[in-house]
Amino acid sequence: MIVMDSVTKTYTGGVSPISGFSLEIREGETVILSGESGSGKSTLLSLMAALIRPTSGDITIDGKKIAKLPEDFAALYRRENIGIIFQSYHLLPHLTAVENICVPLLPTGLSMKDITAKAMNILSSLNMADKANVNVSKLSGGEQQRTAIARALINNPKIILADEPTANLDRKLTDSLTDTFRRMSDEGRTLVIATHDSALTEALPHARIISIGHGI
Amino acid sequence: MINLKLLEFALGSISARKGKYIFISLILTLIIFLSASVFYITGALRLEASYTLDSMPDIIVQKQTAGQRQFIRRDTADRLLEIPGVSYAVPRIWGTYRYEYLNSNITIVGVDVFAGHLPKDIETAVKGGGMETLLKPDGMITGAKLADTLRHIYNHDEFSFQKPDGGYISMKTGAVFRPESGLISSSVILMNQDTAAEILGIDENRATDIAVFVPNPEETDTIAEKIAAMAPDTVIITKEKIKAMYQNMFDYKSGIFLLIFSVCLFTFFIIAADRFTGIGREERKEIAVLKALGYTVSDILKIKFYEAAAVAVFAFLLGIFLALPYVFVFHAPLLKNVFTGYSYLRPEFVLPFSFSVSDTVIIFLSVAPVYTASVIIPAWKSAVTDAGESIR
Repeated sequence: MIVMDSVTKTYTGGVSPISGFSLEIREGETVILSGESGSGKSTLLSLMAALIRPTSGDITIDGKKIAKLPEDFAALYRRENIGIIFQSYHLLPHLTAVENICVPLLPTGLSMKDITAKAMNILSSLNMADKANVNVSKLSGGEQQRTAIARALINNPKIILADEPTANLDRKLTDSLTDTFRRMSDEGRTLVIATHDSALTEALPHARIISIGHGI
Repeated sequence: MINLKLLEFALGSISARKGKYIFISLILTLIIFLSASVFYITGALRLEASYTLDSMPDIIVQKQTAGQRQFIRRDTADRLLEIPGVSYAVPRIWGTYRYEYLNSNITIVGVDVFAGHLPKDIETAVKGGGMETLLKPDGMITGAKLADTLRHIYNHDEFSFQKPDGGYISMKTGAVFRPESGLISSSVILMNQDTAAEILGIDENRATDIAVFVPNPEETDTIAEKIAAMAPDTVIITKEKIKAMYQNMFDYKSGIFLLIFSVCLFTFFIIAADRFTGIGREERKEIAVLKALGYTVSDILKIKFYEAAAVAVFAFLLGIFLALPYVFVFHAPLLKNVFTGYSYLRPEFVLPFSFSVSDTVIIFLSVAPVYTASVIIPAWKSAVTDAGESIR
């Protein structure tokens, strides 16, 4: 499903966290990208999400080359296929939990009523229904994390990309998040998780672990 | 097609950045308020001048020798009446009286109430109880402001004019003009024609000028040419020339004001735009997050357009709704003086209501697109760059 072929990414200034990297991820597979901070994990996720373009090499997802997609096509590709969970959540602070979750679907033709119903369903599945109308800046770290997960799921994506999802969570919340990832996996979604948290790695025994070092 | 969901999102963003948008709205409101006030004052003055001009004679004939204006013989009027197309030719007595105490000039107009053709504003004044005043050799009709000023100085309604020979003529205020009677006429004193001639030092067989009335406007230029041929030592001023002069005066004043205002505005706008409408770190991050969530560049620009349009429309409506009462209810304090000049005896006049849709549209088009562009362009620049770095 996801094929990266000899991908290199060199940033302005000459830093190349990814160099000649190749990878294949099957549909429904859970993959953990493991490595220290600065090893290139986040860059790999950004490349898979077509948020940045590789300097060289090809990235193919579902047979579609995404490496050189024009900006708007890349956005539409993300809207239809990808859910991203950011390390720092990146929720919009002036909105409530349910409003944040609705954001990805606002440009679509769906009615606000339908979008809100979807968002409420996902919030309920994450035991967050009672926090729906609370401003996200007033939510705890764990609640913000679940809101970010709900937002990543609102467009029913085939692929979930999670960047250091446990970085800001305590043990209990990490366990809860692990359960959520298992459920996503059971639903047949492809999960790519960038983490250096060994506890998360151990909690997802079926996941394929890819160790990443500097300048892979 | 407006996406109501994105519009709601944009309005939410405005509410989340209240401080910034209140400041920007205030700047835009002030700009629109000042621009609209200038346009409305100019429009009202033009309208006021046109009212005054309507009551003026079609042609004014003055005698001129060696480039200096002289008093004209009254019997010239009889000769002018012989020109076909002329309905009235009336000798007029008027002139400027210098009142040093107030450092002001007062215009004295002598009125012959039996002349048969009086200008509309004088006729209004005469009908308003002024007839008796003008029949008396010592009666005068003044603007309300002048009457108040003289009463304040002398504690009664009498004022002594000094004649050219050094003697004095004492006059009593018998009536005042209504403020609506006109901007120009309200700085005028009306009195009996013989008394006016005495104060101004005009011989009894002379007049200041001759007012000629031509019922058919199409014939005015032809008659003006005939008068020039008949009396080569005269200057002929048609109503159209005076209209053009007023037009130039208002255009000049509003032009100078707008030029200075535009330079200040431009400088202020650049500083404000640079400081407040540029995309800050938080907004760049928000744009990057939206892109990561699947927003196209046009989706992001729609949001930014809605934000800018909402602020611009709000500021525009507020600016216009403040400018209308400022000009037409409160008579544009401070700003009116820029256009009418200032003196202690400046006439009290009411700006007639004159709302121009085209001027209002021009104001909107000169502010809203500039502001919208100053929001859209940085947002576009941010939206077309890679989002990856902004949200790591």
